[in-house]
Amino acid sequence: MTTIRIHPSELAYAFSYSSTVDVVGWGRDPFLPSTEADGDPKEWYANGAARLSAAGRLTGTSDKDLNFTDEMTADVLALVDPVLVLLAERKEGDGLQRLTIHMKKDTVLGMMHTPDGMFELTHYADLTAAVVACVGFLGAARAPVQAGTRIDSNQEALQKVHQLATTGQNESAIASLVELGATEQDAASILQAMAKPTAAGMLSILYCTNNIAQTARPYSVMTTAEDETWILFPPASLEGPMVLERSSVSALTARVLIEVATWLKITT
Amino acid sequence: MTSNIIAIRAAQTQVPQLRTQLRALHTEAMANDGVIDADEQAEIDELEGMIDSAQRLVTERLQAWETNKTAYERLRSDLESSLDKVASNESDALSRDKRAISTAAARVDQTAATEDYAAALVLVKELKRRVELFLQQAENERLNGLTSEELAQISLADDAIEEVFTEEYMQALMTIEFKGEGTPELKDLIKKIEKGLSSTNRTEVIEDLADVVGKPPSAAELDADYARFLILCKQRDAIGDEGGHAVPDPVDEEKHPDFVGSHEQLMFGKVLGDALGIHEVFATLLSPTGGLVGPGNDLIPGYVSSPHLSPDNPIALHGTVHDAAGYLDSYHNDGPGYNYMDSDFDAGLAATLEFFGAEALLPLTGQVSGIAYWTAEAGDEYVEARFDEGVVALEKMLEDARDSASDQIDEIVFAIEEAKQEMSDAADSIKDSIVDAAKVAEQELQELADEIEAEVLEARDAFEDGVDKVSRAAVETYEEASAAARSLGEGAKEKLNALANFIWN
Repeated sequence: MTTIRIHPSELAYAFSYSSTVDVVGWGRDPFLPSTEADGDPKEWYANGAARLSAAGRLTGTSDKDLNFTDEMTADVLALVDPVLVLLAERKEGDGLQRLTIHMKKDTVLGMMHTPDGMFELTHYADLTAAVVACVGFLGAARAPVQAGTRIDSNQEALQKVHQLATTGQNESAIASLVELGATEQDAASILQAMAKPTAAGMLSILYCTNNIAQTARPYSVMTTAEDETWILFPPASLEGPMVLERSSVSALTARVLIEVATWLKITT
Repeated sequence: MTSNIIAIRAAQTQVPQLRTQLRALHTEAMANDGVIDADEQAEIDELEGMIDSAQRLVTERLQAWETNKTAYERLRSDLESSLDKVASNESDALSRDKRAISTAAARVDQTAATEDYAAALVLVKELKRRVELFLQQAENERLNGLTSEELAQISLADDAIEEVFTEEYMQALMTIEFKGEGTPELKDLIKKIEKGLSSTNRTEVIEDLADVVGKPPSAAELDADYARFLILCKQRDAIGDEGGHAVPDPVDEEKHPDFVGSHEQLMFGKVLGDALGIHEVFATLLSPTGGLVGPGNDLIPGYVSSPHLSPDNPIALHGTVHDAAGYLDSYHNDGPGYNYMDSDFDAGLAATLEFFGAEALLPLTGQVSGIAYWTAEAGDEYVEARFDEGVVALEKMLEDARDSASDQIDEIVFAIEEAKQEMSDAADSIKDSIVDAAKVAEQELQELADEIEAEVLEARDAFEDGVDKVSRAAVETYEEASAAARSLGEGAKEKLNALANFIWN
């Protein structure tokens, strides 16, 4: 696993050769010059090219043998034409923090924005490592699930429970969860996860073609102060059932890997 | 000797004669004194060599003849329906060509009747080119009679379009070379064609073009492509107008003085030309700036004089193919759409997943395919509910696979120290009990432990790094982040929004 820091102008410069400006999970804005600080596009690209050359990621000169290194080429292709993207979004106040994983061929590349405007690109050895990184990023519980709890319900019913939990109607929320099949102990844990999670966010598996996420398999992930994680997901369409399940680092990683494996077997 | 079967058969008859001669020579040598002396042996060896050589030659020629025969018969058979189309064509303008094809077909058949398939193959290939040209001209004549509105309703894509947007095709593009690329002659001719050819200069320009980029293709073939190019321009303008897409700009030669006729431009033309069935030179003119990838070309207006990346770089190739797919979609309502460069999960990913028991999922594949088929046969309203039912059932069936994978991940991420200790204990144990062998065994075990450790550490480190990333990641507003929805399909966006409500509302 190796991590490099890269300026958005470097990425913008490289993306321009692919005739692509949007990156799944990020859009285009993070790679364009802001109107205030770096307003001149010419400067932006020149800066990107200079930084790439200085870092040894771009070789040759504008007159002769200009080329990206093999590693940079593979990274850019994974970003602009991925087959699979994992989008991990962690709630932070009203906002969020993002970690994305982009896969193409042998490249498994993580991308994260840092407060100084730079991006961190992390190369993972395989999908397992990348999924584990996302699950760690989302703050899932380390302790393995001993006794699995799974509640099969639907979006409407669980939204109602969520509304009760987040508006302080604890007794009603617990009663609704028990009605859906949870034990009182689990219901109390779920209530905490929905109302006062210590970590919460989403992990979305995005299957892509033509640089568009065509199919999404999102999971809401909520972890309590007692280090208990609950995930919410629709196994099929939104009109179908919605599942609330106890989870952990290993359980969620396994779920994601098996989900991708199943997709792989079905679609290829 | 030719591959003609008459000559081959004649040679075949010589082999038994030579063998008879060899036996006679042998008998004669023995008859004199009962032994074969050195001179006699040399004579026998020479004759044996001649026989072997003749036999080998006959075999080779016979194989070549059979190969030619098979190739000829396949081509001739494939041409049958096309020749029928030629015969039924009643265009006055093409009547001369029609007669010429009829004569050429008769000549092909006559040659084949003599069993000279080498010659017949050459002739049938030429006939195929003439027939294809004829049919293209006939189709051009038909399409010329259509209005712009009618042209906008039909597909002018070549049958080969499905092969164009594949990984294999892209790989082949990496090493392609174009006749005349980068020459002033080609640039000059492209500019003349772009201005439009008149009845007075069309023949001359097309012949000059054939000299630069042909032959093949011949001037006649290029002329037919030019005629199709004009029809494609008509379709481009009609569909582009309907969809609000302006006619593609010409190349700004002040900004890009070397682009017209360059390898990069012809590469784009090749992709588009193969998709539409015309030569790359004409295809470039459908969208003259196509293939002009790099900073400032269209991402942000006003950026001047971008450098050219090596055209075989996969990023540049991706850009070129992306441009072509976009153009086909916008101006011809055609192309690969979302299926282009179909998801290429590679063997590495498959191996990773198999580690967690994905092989066990194999039997489920057929079941899901069955569900997909079944639901496709059902009515629209019923499909979604049935498909949900199938997918949910599958999701539950995978519980064991998930549990097994989960146990393994626990081991990988959290049990490394324990595993290392076990390895180390095993190494110590061996070292204590078998002194001489211990060094080797310890080394082997240590290497194994290192190997496992490296694999396990990767996952464990990734987990720790993932946790640590939280302290380094920028915090964005939800609205900023939702701009990323630009790269999500509608269905994907709807699901993400629904799940986000449980976190951010």
